[in-house]
This record gives sequence, structure tokens and C-alpha cells, in this order.
Amino acid sequence: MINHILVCVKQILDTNHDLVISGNQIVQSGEERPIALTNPSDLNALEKAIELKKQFGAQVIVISLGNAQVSNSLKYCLARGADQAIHLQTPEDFESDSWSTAFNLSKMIKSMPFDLILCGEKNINSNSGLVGPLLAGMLNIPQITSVIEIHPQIKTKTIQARRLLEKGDRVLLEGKLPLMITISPMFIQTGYVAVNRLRKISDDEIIRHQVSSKALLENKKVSSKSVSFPKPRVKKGKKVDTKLSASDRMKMMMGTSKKKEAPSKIFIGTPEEAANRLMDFLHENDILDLK
Amino acid sequence: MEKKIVLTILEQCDQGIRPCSFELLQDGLQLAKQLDGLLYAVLPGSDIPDPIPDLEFFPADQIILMDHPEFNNFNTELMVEQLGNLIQEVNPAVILASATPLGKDFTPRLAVAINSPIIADCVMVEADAQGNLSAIKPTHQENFYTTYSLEGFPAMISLRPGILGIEHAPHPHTHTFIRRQITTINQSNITQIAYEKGDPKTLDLREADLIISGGSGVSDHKGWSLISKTADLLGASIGGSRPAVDQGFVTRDRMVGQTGKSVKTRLYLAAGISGVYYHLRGVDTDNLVAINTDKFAPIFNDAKLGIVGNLHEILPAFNNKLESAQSNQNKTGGKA
Repeated sequence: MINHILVCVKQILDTNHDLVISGNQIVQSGEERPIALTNPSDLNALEKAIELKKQFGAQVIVISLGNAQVSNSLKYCLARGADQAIHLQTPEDFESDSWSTAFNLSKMIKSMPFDLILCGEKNINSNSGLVGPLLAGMLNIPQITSVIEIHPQIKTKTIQARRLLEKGDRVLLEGKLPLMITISPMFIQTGYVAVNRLRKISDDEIIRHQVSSKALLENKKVSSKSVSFPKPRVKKGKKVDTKLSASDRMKMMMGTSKKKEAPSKIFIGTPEEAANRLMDFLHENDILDLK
Repeated sequence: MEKKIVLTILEQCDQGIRPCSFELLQDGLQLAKQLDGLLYAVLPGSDIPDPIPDLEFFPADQIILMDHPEFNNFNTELMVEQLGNLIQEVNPAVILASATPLGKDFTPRLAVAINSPIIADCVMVEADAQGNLSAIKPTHQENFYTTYSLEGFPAMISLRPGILGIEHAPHPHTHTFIRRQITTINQSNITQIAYEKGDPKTLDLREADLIISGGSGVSDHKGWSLISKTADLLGASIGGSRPAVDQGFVTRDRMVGQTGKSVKTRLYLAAGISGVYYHLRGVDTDNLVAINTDKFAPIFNDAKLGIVGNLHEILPAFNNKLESAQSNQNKTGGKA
């Protein structure tokens, strides 16, 4: 049922090391060579792929687009049990965006056999969650994103995956192969490979293809203009009591009606009064659908 | 020259339109003004109510309704198919969606279908005098804001819910509604097997919408039963500060704070919690309510509503009121 599993991984700047703004980029301060790590969700994707490999006898191929340093990530993936690693090597100071990355990955993947593509939902730095779905779109395969569990269905040769929604809700979806699945940071990991079992990997085990700056730039659609520290927007929030009639609401917004006494922030009273104040608060702030 | 159209993609909920969609209409209106253009909205949904509650206070030049039962399911392929067709006809310059789980799933596929640049999970989008778009998004684990510029039209941006807040316009607005025929539904490669509602009692606090949290002031089983009752009535999850965990009243996975869970909720009701920095560090909410007998407790500096009093007396009264409100609602069958 599953013969080839592709795992897309990305190497990112380690945010545990001090990051500073330099010009319009974010760089690590003080280090000669940037300290990078493999995006954690991508490693979860790899672990799941290895588990499926044991179940279905599939080949696991890891693929990554990035500069020379990416070799380290790929060697680590091979050591954890991937069968093949492909490095789409870019120039040292390359600039790519999600679209260009997805496009260049798709150019490579189009010529490869695959039943399942796994990758992290998003990387913890750029936080877009775009490459997975863009890649699936360019390859014209269905997708299930933000997944916490994967359950292959042998009888129907499909995959059921449980994905996250808001407020603790989940939805169970079923997809036909070939399929793209992106792994949520909350993925429920079951497999584990002991570190002392990792074998030594040599550099020539990695298959390399060069990706030129031209190939990256001509498919780039967005550019990073500047970087700053967070400046939250001023939040709107004049609440209108929707129990009032339309004309009363207008009056309230225009300020010509009698002003309601602004409730004091600290309340002292009997338990009964306090309970009433709490109920009013819930209603004023749209927390409960109390009519 | 034809006016540029900003198309906002709204999401439906039980009450009509989701709060994040009202935020989207506000952002869309601002952008349309900056581009000297028109604001359109499309609502894919099922049994869309007529009229849609509160919508009259959010101006838009045209609202397109796509009404079909299949929109009740999590169906990205349907969204891409129907929205793709609409976009071909309407030809918008900018497409805005909310970065909800559904939004984040379909917008990239739609972007590929119409070959449009896309930036996801932004906190702000604006156009300069020349009509060039830039979008700001949090990156590097919320430590930075990165500003991106987009080249050309159409352009697609998904906006993070809960950033802008909602403010009604002063005057009600009459909208032009167009009900769009949904005729061809292609069989999707992904089918929905089951929708699983989250249970506030068991879900991870990081996903909770409402939390009631207890601290050292709760002090005994009786107090914690009261909290448990309040949680049930509110549909909230239970959390605790470090002392509550140390005393064995809540498990470690329910500890909120710097070394525990970081939560983002619509309501955080802190009962018997003093409010020291390392606890509140883990709380992100617009509605922090505190109940504490100590009027000098630091939590009263941050609370939106502070109640000085004994939770052992206040919570029973509060629970009674919640129970009556619930039974009233059941009697009248929900909405009046």
C-alpha cells in the first residue's frame, strides 16, 4: 500500500541562541557560524515515516532545500533510519520564500515515485505553514494538515488522519493516496529511536542537486522588507448591546444617551452582589450566550 | 479605470458569522479605502440565516452567499473549487481570509489555483499611496514582527484572528446580497469521517477557550468542588497555580505559569490566586477576573474585574445564578 514515503525537512536558525535584528534580517548574535537545527515537527514527520516503513516495508526518502549546512540535518535523518537523502543545495546566502521553496521541491519530486509526503505543519521561525500545502497544490495531490494522528486503512488503501481545529475540537478525515500530510507541533509521537543506535553517515551518502539563485529568485513572490520588535495593534472594542433597538444603539454610539455608570474595576460587596457582578461581566464581554 | 476589489472570505458559525470574520471585514474596509476600491465579501455556509445577525453594522459593497450543506464539512477541495470560480468572475485585487484551521488549509491551495502570492497568519495588511501591499506577521516564536511586500495582483493574505478586535460602525448599512448557485460539486479526495467536539474537562489547557483556575486560597476539597461545579456550568477547563499543584489538588499538566502551561483564553477566572509574575506570565487573556480575600493581592493590578471576597461564599452564589440562567435558556429553547 505504501511503497515510497517522502519527508521534507527544513533547517532553521536555533532560536535558543540570542537573535538580533541586523539591517532588515534576523541573525544570531556573536556566533561565527549560525547554529541551526532541524525543525522539530519535521523530525516528528521522519519518526512517523520510519514507523510506517516498518509496517509497510516502504522506502523513506528525506529531501531538503538549503545551503551547505543542511548536510548535517540530512546525515542525522539518514542515521535515524531514512533510506535516502536528497539535498537541493542552494548558494550560501540564499533568499527564498515559501512559494519558491515549494516550487523547487515540486520540480524534483515530480520525477519521483511517492505514495505519501510528510512534513512539519510549519517551522518555528517563519511560522507560515505554507510550503506543505503549496507543494501539494503544485503536485496536485490531496492534503490533510495540522495532523496529530495517522491511521492507515489497509482494506480501503486510504489513510485516516485526525487533525486539530479550535478549542480542543478535532476532525477525522480520510484521504486517498498519493497524499500530503503535515504534522502538527502537537503530534502524538509513539516511536522512538535510541541515540546509541544511530550509525555513522558519510557525506557522499547524500544525493546532491544544485539549485541556482536564478531558480530561487524567479519563483519568489514575496520579499521581506524589514524586521522589528512586536508592536501590538491598538485593539478595537466598543461593545454595542445588541438587545437595544437600532435607534438606541445609534444613540449610544453617538454619545447622546444618558451615560451608563462605568463599573469600578475592584468590586467589594456581599456574595450575592458579587455573583451578580460576575454574571453582568460575562454578559458584557460576550463570554456566555446568556439571554 | 475599474475599481480594485478587496474580497474577504467569511466563516459561518451557529450564530451567523464568526467574530474573526467581523474583524476581517474591518481590515478589508480599511484596505479598500487605502486602494480607493470596493469591499466584497463571500460567505460559504449552510442554511445561512436571513438576516445575518449584526452584519448591518459592517459595511461592504457586495456580499455573496454560497449556501450548500457540504460547507458544513471540513472540505478544502470544495472551498478551492467554488472560490476559484468566483474569483475568476469577480477578479479581485486582494483576497483576505482568516488564519483559522480551515483558512490555513485552503488559502495556499487557492493561491496555487489562481497563481497568486500569499502571506499567512498576518497581524496587519496595508497599501501605500502607490497601491503597493505590505503585510506584517509575527515570526521567530513571536519574538519579532517581519514586514513583507507583495508583488503584483491578485494577492492573498490570511489574517490572524483576535488581533484587531471588533468595533461596530455607527450607522447600520444596507447590503446587497447575492445568493450564488452551487451546482457542480466534484467528489473530493478527502472525506470527513467524524467531527469530535473538545471536552473542556479533558482537553489540553493550551487549547482551552475558558479557564477557571484555583490557587492557595482555595485550600480544601470543598473549595475545589465549588471550582469544579463552576467549571461545569461555564463549560470551562480547570487550571491551577503552583501551590495548587504542590497541595495535590490539580495535576502537573494543569499548572498554568512560566514553568507550566501558557494559555490563551477568552476568560481566565482566578480564584484564590495571588497573581505573582511567574503565574500570570503564562496567561494571555482579555478577560482576567480575580476573586481574592486579600485586597492587596498583586493580581488586582492586572485583573479586568477584581472581586475582593471569599470564594467559598461567592462561588456558590455564582453557581446558583449560572444554573438559573441555564434552565431559563432551556425553557425558552435557546434564542428568543
